[in-house]
Amino acid sequence: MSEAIIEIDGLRKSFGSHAALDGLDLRVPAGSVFGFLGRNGAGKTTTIKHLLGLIKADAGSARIFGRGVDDPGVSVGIRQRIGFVTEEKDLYPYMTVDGIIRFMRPFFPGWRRDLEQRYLDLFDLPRNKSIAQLSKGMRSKLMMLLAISHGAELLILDEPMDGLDPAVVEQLLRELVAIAADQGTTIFFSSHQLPDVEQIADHVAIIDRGKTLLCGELDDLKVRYQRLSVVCSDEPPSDIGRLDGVESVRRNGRMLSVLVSRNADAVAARLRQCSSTAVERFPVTLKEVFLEHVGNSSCSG
Amino acid sequence: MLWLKAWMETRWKAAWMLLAGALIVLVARRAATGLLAMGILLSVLVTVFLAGTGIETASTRPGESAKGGEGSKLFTLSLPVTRARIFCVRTVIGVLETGALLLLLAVAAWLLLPSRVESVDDALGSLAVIVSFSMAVYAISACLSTFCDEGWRIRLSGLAVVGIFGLSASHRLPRGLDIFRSLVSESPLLTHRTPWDAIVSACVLAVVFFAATLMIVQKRDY
Repeated sequence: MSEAIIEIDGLRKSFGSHAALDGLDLRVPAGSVFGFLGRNGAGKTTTIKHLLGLIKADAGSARIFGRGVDDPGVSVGIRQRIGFVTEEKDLYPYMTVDGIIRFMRPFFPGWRRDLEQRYLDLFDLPRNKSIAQLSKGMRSKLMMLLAISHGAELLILDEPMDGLDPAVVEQLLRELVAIAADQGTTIFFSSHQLPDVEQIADHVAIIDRGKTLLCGELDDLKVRYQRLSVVCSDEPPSDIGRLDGVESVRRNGRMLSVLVSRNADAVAARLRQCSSTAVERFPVTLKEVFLEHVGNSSCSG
Repeated sequence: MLWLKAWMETRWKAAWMLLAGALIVLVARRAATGLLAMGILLSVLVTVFLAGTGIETASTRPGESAKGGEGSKLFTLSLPVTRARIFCVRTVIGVLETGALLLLLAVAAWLLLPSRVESVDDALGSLAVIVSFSMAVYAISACLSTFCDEGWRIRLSGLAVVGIFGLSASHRLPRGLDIFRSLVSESPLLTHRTPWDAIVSACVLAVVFFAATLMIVQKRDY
């Protein structure tokens, strides 16, 4: 496994009586495109804010590039190597596109004018236009330009596709993939747009109520997670839900649909005992996995 | 570049306050002479100052109330600079803008009341009193803005001034600490004496509140 660029261990943060983070663990491999998933209020933005030194955790630790984010001095050095796109996409409305680019350059000695020009052209951003006059989609592109052009080793994007039209989303997704592939930049992005995540991420984590429910390679998840379906000849066995690896069981008359996260062969063998027909196996989408985990979490709450 | 940003964010408010102050001074000049004009002018100074208390104050962005909208605050705080640096830039810009405004208003006062200004020392003394008093209110306002929104910050800043005035009027403040008395009834323009003890007290108050604000800003969650 490649070196982790973000490491979070047992992170806890409460706001009053509300636990925003409740022992969150995470490993983001260097060079990965990492989808950070969760419902609204799951703790995604709180995690990102902690990584950027904007809030302090009550317990646990977080490291980026192997350095703790809690020390304000260290955090400044870390932020110099990070590109950040905020959820709100709010920039300074009294500046122009060119003005904010000139504003940003001195903070980042490694600022790359070639990338700046490339993304100005690619995103069709007019240098002299006031930021106040830009649409949210254009502001998203501008923030992306600012995040990328200083040669960031890590991009942290908080809901980058939120509120954008499909054409802009598609363009940004393509660019993110290109940045990761061409420059080796690690991309850590939060989202609840699951199809977007599935399109570009190679790693995902699902969190809910401040806890990590699932974390791993997307391809591995897709291999491990399967839906098994069978029509039983007799009454369906009642013990299926207790088998190792079974995440959920749906019954519809004599038809059983079982979602498994591992041990699929053993579960299929057990299902075969109640059926004269073959057990069918279906791949599952990230959305199914997400809903399964977040749904279970909601019920247990 | 933080200096440029701070200036760009405050320039219009500063210009507006200056214009408002200048207009009221002109009205005062037409309407009154002598001590009445002096009273009006001092009211103007306090009113104009409180209207924008410190022109966006030192606390803007990093010291902003956590209840306020996020806006571009997160973007600013994610830049590779310390909060202390952001805070200091805002403070210095705010102080300079306020100082420039007060200097211009003080010059207006001297022009308005040429008979009261008997020496340059008196004029500079009165300016020092005005600036030190303003800095104290400015620092209190900055501190308030770490946990109040804009509306409450202005109201509570006004209340702080009224409180200082009340203590001064009831003679509960030791003479050496009574900057308000030095601002009004015992102005250097009237007494021909610079009240250094009151000036120093006001400056110490300002430093204490600025330091408290900086500590809050550095520790707070955004």
